[in-house]
Amino acid sequence: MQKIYYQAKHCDGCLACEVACIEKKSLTKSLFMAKMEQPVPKARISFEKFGNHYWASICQNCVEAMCVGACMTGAMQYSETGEVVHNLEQCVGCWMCVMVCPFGAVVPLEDAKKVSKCDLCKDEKTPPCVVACTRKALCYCTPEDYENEG
Amino acid sequence: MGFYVRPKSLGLNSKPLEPDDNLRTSICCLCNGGCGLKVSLDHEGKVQAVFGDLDNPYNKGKICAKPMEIAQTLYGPYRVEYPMKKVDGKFERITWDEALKLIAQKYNHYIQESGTGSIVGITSKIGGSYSKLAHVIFSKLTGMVNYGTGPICMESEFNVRKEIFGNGSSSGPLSDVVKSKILLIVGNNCAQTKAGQFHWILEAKRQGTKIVVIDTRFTETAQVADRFIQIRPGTDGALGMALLKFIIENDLYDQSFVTEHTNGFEQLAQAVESFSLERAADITGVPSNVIQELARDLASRQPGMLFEGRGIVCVNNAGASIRAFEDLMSILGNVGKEGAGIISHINNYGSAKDLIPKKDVVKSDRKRSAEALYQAMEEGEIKMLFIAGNPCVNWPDSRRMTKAIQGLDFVVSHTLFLDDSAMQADIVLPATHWLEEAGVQASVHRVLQWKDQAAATYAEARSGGDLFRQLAKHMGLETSYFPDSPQKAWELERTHNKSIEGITVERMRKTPGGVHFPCSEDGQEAERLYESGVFPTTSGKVELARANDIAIEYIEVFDSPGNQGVSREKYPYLLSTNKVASHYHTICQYSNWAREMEKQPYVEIHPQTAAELGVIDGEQVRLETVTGSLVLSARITLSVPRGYFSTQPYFGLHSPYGQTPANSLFPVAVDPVGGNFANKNIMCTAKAERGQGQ
Amino acid sequence: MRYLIIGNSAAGIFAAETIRGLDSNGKITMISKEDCLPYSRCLTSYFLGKEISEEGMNIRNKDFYTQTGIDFRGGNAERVDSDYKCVWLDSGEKVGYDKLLIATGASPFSPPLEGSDMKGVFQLRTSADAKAMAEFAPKVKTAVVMGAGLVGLKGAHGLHELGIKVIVVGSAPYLMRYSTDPESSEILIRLLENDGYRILLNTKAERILGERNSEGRMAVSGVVLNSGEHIPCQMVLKAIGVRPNVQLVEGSGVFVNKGIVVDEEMETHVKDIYAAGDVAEADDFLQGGKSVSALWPTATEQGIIAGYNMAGVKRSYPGALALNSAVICGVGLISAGIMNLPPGEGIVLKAVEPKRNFYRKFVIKDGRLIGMIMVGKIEGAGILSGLIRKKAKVDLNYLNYLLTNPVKYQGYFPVGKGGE
Repeated sequence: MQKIYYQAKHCDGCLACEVACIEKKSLTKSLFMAKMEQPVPKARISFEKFGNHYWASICQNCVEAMCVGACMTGAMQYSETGEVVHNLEQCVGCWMCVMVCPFGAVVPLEDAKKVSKCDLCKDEKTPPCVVACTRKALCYCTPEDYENEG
Repeated sequence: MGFYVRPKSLGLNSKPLEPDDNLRTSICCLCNGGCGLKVSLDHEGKVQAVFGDLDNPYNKGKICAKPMEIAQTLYGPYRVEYPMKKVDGKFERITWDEALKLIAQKYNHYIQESGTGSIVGITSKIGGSYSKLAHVIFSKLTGMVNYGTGPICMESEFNVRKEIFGNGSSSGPLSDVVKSKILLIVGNNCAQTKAGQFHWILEAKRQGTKIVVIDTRFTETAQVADRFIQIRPGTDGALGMALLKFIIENDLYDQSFVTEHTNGFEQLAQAVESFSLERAADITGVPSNVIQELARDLASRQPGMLFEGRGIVCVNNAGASIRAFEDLMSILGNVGKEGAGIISHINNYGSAKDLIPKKDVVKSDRKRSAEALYQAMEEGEIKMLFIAGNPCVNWPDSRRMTKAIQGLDFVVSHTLFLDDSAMQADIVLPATHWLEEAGVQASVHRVLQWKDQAAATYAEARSGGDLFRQLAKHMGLETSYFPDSPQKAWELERTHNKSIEGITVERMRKTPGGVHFPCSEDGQEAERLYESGVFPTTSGKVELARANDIAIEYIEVFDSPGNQGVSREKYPYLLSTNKVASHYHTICQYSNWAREMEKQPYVEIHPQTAAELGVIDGEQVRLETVTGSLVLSARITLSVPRGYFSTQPYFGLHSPYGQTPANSLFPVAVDPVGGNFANKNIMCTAKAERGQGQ
Repeated sequence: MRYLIIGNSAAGIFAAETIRGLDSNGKITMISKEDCLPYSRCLTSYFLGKEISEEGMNIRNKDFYTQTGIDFRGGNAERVDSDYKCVWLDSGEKVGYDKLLIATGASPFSPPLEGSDMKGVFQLRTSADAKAMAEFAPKVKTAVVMGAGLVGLKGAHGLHELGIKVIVVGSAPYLMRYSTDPESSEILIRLLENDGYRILLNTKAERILGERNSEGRMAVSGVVLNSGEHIPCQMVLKAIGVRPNVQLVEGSGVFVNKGIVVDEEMETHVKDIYAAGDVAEADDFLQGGKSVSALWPTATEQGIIAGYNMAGVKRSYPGALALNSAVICGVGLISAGIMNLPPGEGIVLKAVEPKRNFYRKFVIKDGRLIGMIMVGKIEGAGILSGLIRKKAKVDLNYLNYLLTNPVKYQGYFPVGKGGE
């Protein structure tokens, strides 16, 4: 299983990851139209700067995910390969997963009364946020590769 | 968007200018922008620098890179100095007399052997008003059929507009934008393509005109817009129709104008019936609330202007898009008013009538569409070709065009440079540059401006005006019909064309910025058309619907000519060519400055598409369409949408770039309604080209 | 190894899944008196309000039991025999076990009230309850919900969605008193009242009035409050609270206080008998001691811990942390930990913007975040609840910043272990 890893030491806070995610998650698939869509699409990765610290929150696909335990609808479950997958159909927007995710990686979509989170863009060869990250602060690899290469 | 800043290095190797106290005034003839120029000459009378003319009321001293590049291109190694004849594949110098004699002899031979239809001209760069008129007279005397800039540039725009308003040219001057409340720019990167005149749009924006840009790419023009609407390639028609539907349904149109001055409103309403906001949003990728906002803006901000560009004209479904947007302006009543109308660089002021007596007019025995020209050349139906332009670079399927020209019996090229097309010629004739020729230039402001000859004639170069007169003489035709100077040519044209009757050379010289047309004998110039409310259509009204009663027929881009039947699995992306200011014409490839600014031709790719292909910025990419493939270096940018490739046209093999023309990738496909060749939105595929290096 | 699980809701299902993940050969038997697919009790009010279908309540699909190899039996477990390691069902059947998990949950409870046996008095716990209410609802114009807790409000929302005028009667001074504070409660009351609910706090129902219906049964016709007010209504929903279902272990030697008392491995005083979920009385995370917590995330967490220990992998439970999430009239409320401290204790940071329905409150004690409430913008709430779990020292400046800014990352806090 491949995951998206974030290394703050390489990040310069350019927000390209958020922008790429918004473009991908928009209905129009257009960077420029996305901000005018209603509801405005939300990025599944969120960047934060406080003082001189940078951080991007994104679903870590935890081995023991708090969100899966907290989900009262069964919408959050593990896939066969171990990712945490979210079934939009079942979701009722109770925000239980939002309440427990220690990474703040579950995104409430208030208008749709659903949540969403990073789905690793399985339809892409490489997730757009990783492509957009020119400084390689985000990488898309298996946990083993990540451990080996740091 | 850091990738989008274009390099701005200029003149690294320029030598100091010689003092020139007597700057010549001229008008730029490159893009129909009509920018006023000041030309500095050296002691030999050669152009050493070109500046903007601060006294010209239209460009106010602003120009783009193209005219500046002239100082370099005109005297470079590619310029043709004297007539040449190809002997055993090599060009040998001959005299003008020898050349003309040979051409005349061949010309007469083919007329007799194979008929007038066996000789055609591809004459997109024939020269100024003097050369154009001589060419017209020559064609009338010989029955030569010519293909101008139309099919590769504006045929669809011209034809559709002519159907609607009865006149294909621009209905209002660009300078009117400062008086309009909203300017709708569709598929037009005028910041690059009308750079010298772009300050009008900026000025309008400062004065409160809302600038709305609809484009597939986030262009330089889009960057200054109040509202940029990114639209999926080739879907402009659907957007225009949804706007029409919304405006009609909500009674936001100018009802009195529609009743009094238009025909076919019912058919139009019916044709757009199925284009709901939601459907249009699905097709175009523009959120329905944005479409609605635009419709309301257009209705509430009046007067408004429309400026269409090649983005909706040089495409394979151009007819529907152009008609949708121009019908839209019509029903809003944005016609014939100050600050309203359609801006275009098409400045057709009509043609001179009865230049030669009927008895001497020869009609061509065959007529072919531009599309059919290829086959006619390939099948040997055409024997002789007269080139004034560069069809081997700027016509679609350039490889096929080149091969077709190679197969002809006799080819003449009247040209500035020994370019891709001249290389295929049997006779190459040196042409004058427009700075070396006096004449009239039309502009995007609907004015005619006079320019005197600025630079000294280069080497043995001759203008088209002289060439055709002399050729006629050698062919034994009546030469008295031909004017022998640009001034006389204009006088002749003026007196045979009602719409420019009042525009004398004298008057143009006296009036800063030139004279608006039409302008009748009694001297009243018309800044904009249709102010009287009468339209030159048969009915005298705006024709909102086409003759066949179907107002607009939307064709999906993948079902349009050139893409029809092409496998989407094999060719999943779309390819377009888009011009940049410094590489606007094929002539620009001979300038070092242009080269400094744009380096190599490149292909713009969205980062996600690049990732799919495994390409990083600067790496080589092979683009392939049904007609062939070529390699370009990648420029990764968010300014283009995903799955869309944009490159610059007009680079050739016989230039400092040695580049296969981008037009080689475009099949010979024409817009079924307007007749324009498509040089955008053609299905393509791409892959990384490894091991080639930079 | 034979595993026996009584109850097929949150704790039971998550325990079973955990066991199956660790022991692929063990025989897992699951017994529940509700002979159906595992469903979520939290969704019954959504079903009532017709926001989801009946299938939508299921938390696992129809192949769940076969896929996980669980032997599921519908039936009522009556008695545990810890000596012989078996459970007797009311059918007389006996099921043996090596490891037993009691996850029987809780049942609604309310103090005796006159008229509670009449037609039109409901409680909302099981899907059967929800179905019964939904069936009765078309005849109802006005309903009184007794109890202003989470269950009461969710039930009220479901009824409101059906177009019924809802009157919520709560004895506490504010709404959801275990998961709010007076300020946030005020925002919620305003929202509810704007939406057409009537909220009566500090009030109790004295008795339910009835009249004989056409079938000759007594049916609800109104409620009399302790204020003396008489509210005509056709339905009463009792949502006062729940009590653990501990009857099963009576006489088995398992120690029962409020619920079944378990240690940090979720094991009861009797070896090989575990308890988890609403029925268990486990360690409390913040306050120390033991407590019964009737929350979905707690139940699943306890189920997972129990599952590990039953399968032989030692895992200890850090303790139950109060966590609540509610959506009132489209506005989210998330609270965690201790929200109300006695005056003079700890530090409280607050930001209120009633107009935007925005409220945030952080409770800090001994330099550690111990509680929070977020109303309105609830993104990143998990980061704060995670901080509470970490018991890490927090930077007050950053917390101050978070009062009005989006909560995105907990990493800015010095990652100190407790006691540092």
